Amino acid sequence: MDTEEFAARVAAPLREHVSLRAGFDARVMRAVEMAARPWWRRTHAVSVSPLGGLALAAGIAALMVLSGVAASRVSDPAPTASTIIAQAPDTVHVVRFVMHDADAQHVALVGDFNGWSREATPLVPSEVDGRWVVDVVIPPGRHEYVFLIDGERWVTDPSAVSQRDEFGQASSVVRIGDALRGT
Amino acid sequence: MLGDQDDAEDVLQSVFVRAFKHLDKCEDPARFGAWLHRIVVNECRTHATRRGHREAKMVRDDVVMGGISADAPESDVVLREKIDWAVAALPMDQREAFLLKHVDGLEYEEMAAVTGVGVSALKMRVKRAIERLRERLGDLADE
Repeated sequence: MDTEEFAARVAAPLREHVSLRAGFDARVMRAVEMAARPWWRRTHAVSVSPLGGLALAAGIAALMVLSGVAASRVSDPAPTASTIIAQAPDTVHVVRFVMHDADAQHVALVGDFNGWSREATPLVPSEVDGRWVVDVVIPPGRHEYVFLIDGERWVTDPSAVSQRDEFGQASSVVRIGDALRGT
Repeated sequence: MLGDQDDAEDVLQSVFVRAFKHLDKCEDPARFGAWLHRIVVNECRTHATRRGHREAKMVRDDVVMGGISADAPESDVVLREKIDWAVAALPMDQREAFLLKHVDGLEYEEMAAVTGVGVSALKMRVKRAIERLRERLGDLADE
């Protein structure tokens, strides 16, 4: 068997069709769509080690506990910002987003769960000066969001996990789902 | 090229996203295929470099099994596993050159354009790749 014949024989099975997994097309199209968005409308995939994932889940759980305490004392001075998560038995997840900005005239929540709309989810002023709040029903999963102050200033949630994209732009991350159940 | 379906799909996704973002840099639409091929090679290289510190992957994975019909004779399955194992064991540069030449069917000039490597160097890489494959697949060559 000469070299070319050998190479052809080795290569033949490697040319066989390999099926892509179900949903690959949709995954790619979502990624392309995301790439076409400005930074503040993108979502990002983050790889974490199992240990890192546990640490993140523990951090979120701790945040929930602390937020629950804060929620039970609404007359107390508000934290700078917080995310309060409640879960009904039928797995409807209600997340309270809180932003503190004494100078703001308008605060909006912009995230993947509202189609990155600047208008869809405005926060409302609470009884505490400078504290803005909104409760949002969010499906399970990982979600990204930022606050838009007065229609021009993008701010991440100081009480949530933040990440930066390839251009250095930051967004906040909240995870809703099984990892949080029972906490 | 990567020996893992998850890695391959991740790279493929990156390729499409990168191609979409830089579509305006494809100066000759008639050579879109070559342009896209270059992105594939670059993404594979980047991914392989990132993966370099991870332990060597077993080639007997979904890519291998997914490419084989359930009705295929056992000898075909074994042959395919041997080939995948041998190809995966090649150094990255030789594997890339061999696959571009003999699986993708590119001419050396096309390979040079895609990889940025000179034709003579590519010929040497392919030659060495085949020599290594022959060492590992001697039985195949003699069948």
